[in-house]
Amino acid sequence: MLRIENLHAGIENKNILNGINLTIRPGEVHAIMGPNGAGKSTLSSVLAGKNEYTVSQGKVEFDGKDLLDMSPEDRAREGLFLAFQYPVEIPGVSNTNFLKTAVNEQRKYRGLAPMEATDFLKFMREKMELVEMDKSLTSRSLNEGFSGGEKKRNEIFQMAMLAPKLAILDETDSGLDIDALRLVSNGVNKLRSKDNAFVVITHYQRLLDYIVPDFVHVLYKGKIVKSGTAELAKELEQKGYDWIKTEVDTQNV
Amino acid sequence: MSLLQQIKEKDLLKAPSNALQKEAMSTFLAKGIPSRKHEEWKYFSFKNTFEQELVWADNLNSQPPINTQLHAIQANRLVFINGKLASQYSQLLDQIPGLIVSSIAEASTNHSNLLNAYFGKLAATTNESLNALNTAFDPQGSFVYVPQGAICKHPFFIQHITAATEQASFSQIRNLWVIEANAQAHFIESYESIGEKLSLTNVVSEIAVAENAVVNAYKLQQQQSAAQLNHYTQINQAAHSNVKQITISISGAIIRNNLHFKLNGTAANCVLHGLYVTDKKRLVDNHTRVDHVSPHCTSDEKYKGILLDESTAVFNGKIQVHLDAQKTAAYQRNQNILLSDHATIYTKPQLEIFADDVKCTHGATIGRLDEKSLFYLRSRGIPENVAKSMLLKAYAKDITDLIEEPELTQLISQFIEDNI
Ligand SMILES: Nc1ncnc2c1ncn2[C@@H]1O[C@H](COP(=O)(O)OP(=O)(O)OP(=O)(O)O)[C@@H](O)[C@H]1O
Ligand SMILES: [Mg+2]
Repeated sequence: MLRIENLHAGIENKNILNGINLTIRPGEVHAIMGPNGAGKSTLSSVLAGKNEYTVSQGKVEFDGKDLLDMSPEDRAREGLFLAFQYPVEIPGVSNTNFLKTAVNEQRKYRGLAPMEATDFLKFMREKMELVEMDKSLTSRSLNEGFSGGEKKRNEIFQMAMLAPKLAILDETDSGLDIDALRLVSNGVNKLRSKDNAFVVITHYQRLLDYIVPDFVHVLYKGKIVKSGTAELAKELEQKGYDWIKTEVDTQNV
Repeated sequence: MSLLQQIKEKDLLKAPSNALQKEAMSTFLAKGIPSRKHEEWKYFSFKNTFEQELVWADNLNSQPPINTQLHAIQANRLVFINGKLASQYSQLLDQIPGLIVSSIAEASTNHSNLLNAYFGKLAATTNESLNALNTAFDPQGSFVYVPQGAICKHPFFIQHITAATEQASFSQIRNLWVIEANAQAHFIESYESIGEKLSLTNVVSEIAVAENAVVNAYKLQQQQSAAQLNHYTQINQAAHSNVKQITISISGAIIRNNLHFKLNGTAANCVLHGLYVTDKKRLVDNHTRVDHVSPHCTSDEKYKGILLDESTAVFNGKIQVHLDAQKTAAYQRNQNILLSDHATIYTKPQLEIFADDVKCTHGATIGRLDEKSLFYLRSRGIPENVAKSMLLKAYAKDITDLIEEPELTQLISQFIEDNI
């Protein structure tokens, strides 16, 4: 579904990603872990198409298409979704209107007619229940004044509405209370199928107890330096990153 | 023959004029068209337009089909084409004893005393030569008199259309609205043009608001791409009156607004908000002035701009707090979003404060569309142009939300959607 080959990217004269290789097949869940500043969010942003970053080398194939050649909106309409680590607040744009536009623009891209207002509301209510999102949030401006946890829940709610093929969750678990964490994880698990895939970026093993990954990768200094199964996450939880850092840094000397 | 030349000849040819017109003409001839050397006309001048061969619109006899989109609003309606009342489009819904809704020409026959008590008494002519020019000829336009205590159920919709289909044209419009004590009235004004030829419309509005009266006025300026508009508005408020004036400038080659408030009585409040959208090589110039003459008055001013292409906008907001105007509260903000590197905004607040116990704030910002927000929307599959217009509508929302006429708000959102 997604094939990243030797991806190098950065800003101006700073390299942040230094040769990422990663292949994701339908039905898989990949966890990406790694110390602060390793480049996890940069990787998500580059995949989603943020133009702040320049790709200097490498390629990314999404369902056989050249992902890096597409506009951010086309990537989304091809089925890519990024749950942001820091969702922005957009005053004056209502949550409902935003979602309706997004859903209908994606339908349009796929040659479907826009959803009827009543169908849309029903669909929205259904998905809201999935993440137990408070009704009052949908009538407010997009993320404006939402608490940290509410913003994260709203990301998952949007994901449920848009039903992407590949969803990247960038630290969606940070800032969630224990109940919300379970809820969001259940939401993700309910959306899991043999046709879609997830990339879960997290610092905490706890999330991976709920969303059990098929693979765990460690990103360090813009490279995937270790890959393994769910066991790797448990090992990291116990030992921290130092042993990996030392391993990598001594190799590079 | 140039427009300026025609003006001079027309003045000689017309019937002996009254004292007001005579004085106005001599002021106009003495001062001429303000050039860019004039402090208040730094960024453009109509001088060149007056050198063109424009035909006086009252010589044109066209009755072109007009835009009736806003006729969906249930309103007391007056439609003027090139200054002449088009009665087939006009209607009166509110039957209130003493209410007068007519053309100025009709009022000068039927209600001359009332008309003369206000006409030319509000808008200054001495330093305003284009006002003087407007005053020098027989006035064409709207007269609305709302008697004491009248609560008008329907808004007054006043549509002014300048037709320049075959020839470049010049027209002058005058509005005089008097809202007596304790009365309440809403106004919607639309300035439009038809045809692709050059046109210049020179408008003077005088609005007298008596004690405790409430007025909401929405001004929509949406002319064709070669149309130029000069609109001078003077609003005088008596004690405890409330006026909300929203100015929406969305199209036309040149729009120049002078909006002047005079808060003459204690505890009068005014809200003056505006939204301007400029593209191509268009220019919108808003000069506003609020005179706080009496104590305990408030003025709340906010103008927001969206600039595209190589367009230019000017905001010049003067607030003058007179010696006796203690406890004044005056707020002024001007915000701009530039969507192009070639657009230009000149913004200048001018506060002149002669009283000591006042609260005045002002601020101006110039920015771009927020990249992060734009990316967020696009990352959900919303195309760039749709995302931009969503953000711009959100930006304009605090202005458009003040318009309590859904049809009008809809028209403005549609405009932003279609043009950006
Ligand atoms: N726009 C930018 N300008 C400057 N530096 C940037 C920018 N974006 C990322 N960086 C830098 O690139 C590095 C990687 O950042 P990134 O946000 O991808 O890390 P991360 O792995 O997501 O970290 P965290 O776990 O703290 O979220 C950091 O050193 C960061 O400061
Ligand atoms: Mg991050």
